Amino acid sequence: MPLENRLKEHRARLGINQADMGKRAGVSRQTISLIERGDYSPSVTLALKLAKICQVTVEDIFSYTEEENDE
Amino acid sequence: MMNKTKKKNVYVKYAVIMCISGALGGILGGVMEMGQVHGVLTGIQEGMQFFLNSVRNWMLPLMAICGVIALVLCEQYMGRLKRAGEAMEQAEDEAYERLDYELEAAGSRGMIVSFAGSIAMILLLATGYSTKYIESLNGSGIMWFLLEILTFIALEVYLNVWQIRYVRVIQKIYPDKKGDPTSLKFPKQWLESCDEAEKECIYQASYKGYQTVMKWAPILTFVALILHMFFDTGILAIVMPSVIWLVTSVTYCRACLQNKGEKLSK
Repeated sequence: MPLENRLKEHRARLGINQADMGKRAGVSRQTISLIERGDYSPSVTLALKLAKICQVTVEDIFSYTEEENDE
Repeated sequence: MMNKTKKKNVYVKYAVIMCISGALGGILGGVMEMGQVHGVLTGIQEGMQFFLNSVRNWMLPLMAICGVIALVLCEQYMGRLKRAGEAMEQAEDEAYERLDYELEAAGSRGMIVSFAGSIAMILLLATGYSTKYIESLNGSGIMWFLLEILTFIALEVYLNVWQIRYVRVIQKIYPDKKGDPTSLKFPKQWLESCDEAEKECIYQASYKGYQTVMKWAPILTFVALILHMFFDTGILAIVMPSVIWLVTSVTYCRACLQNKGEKLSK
């Protein structure tokens, strides 16, 4: 999975659950759950929103790792 | 250089497929012609007619069986939906993910059953739904047919109401989901209330649906064409899948063009 994230850690630091995080970001609880599991890569807008809610930069939450067979 | 070879291979592959299809068509045509000569096709036609007559004679019990199966399954899935929805209210993250999947599974299976039930009812009714058949009925025959029509209407209404109930249950679990399920604008209203991940899921599922139609509509058109040649099944059987094929492809291309046009005009 090239896109990794630490959203769960940042959410835990804020002490809020997935539903509250979803409400703040304007998305559903399922979407937050999908992002945390790495099953969904959010749009730039949503990534920026999430970073703003967590009061960190996007890079603090999301990191891109190149796969070895990437050309 | 590599690209040119690849392109050449694609054309060669296409030509081989066309040749094989042509050969298979020729063999099938020959077999059908042989069948016609030896009376096999007439036998098949008579067999089909016997089957349709039997279905028509047993229409009411068959409708009742299909209806009861659909009703039991739909109510079972509705129960699962409601239970999963109630459990989700208090669920922690991991349990929530499992319940969310259960909710999706119960909803999708229920929708499949309701559509399959609805189409089965239409197919059963179609075996006797002609003025020629109705005019051939006597007093008690007409009463039976009316009873079949009433059963058909009752089950169709139930299955449609089940779909509305399903949407209402989902809207109760996820209050953000908007749309009036009885309105023609429902798909648009529902999509507008979805977030980006949900829209992506809908788009992927829709594309899969599009691919399925684009695969099966041509196959059904050609099957109908061949069957019409030998069994005189009527032009409508060819027109229907070909219209679906045309409408689907035109809608797809039009939507792509519209989408790009809107972006360009911004």
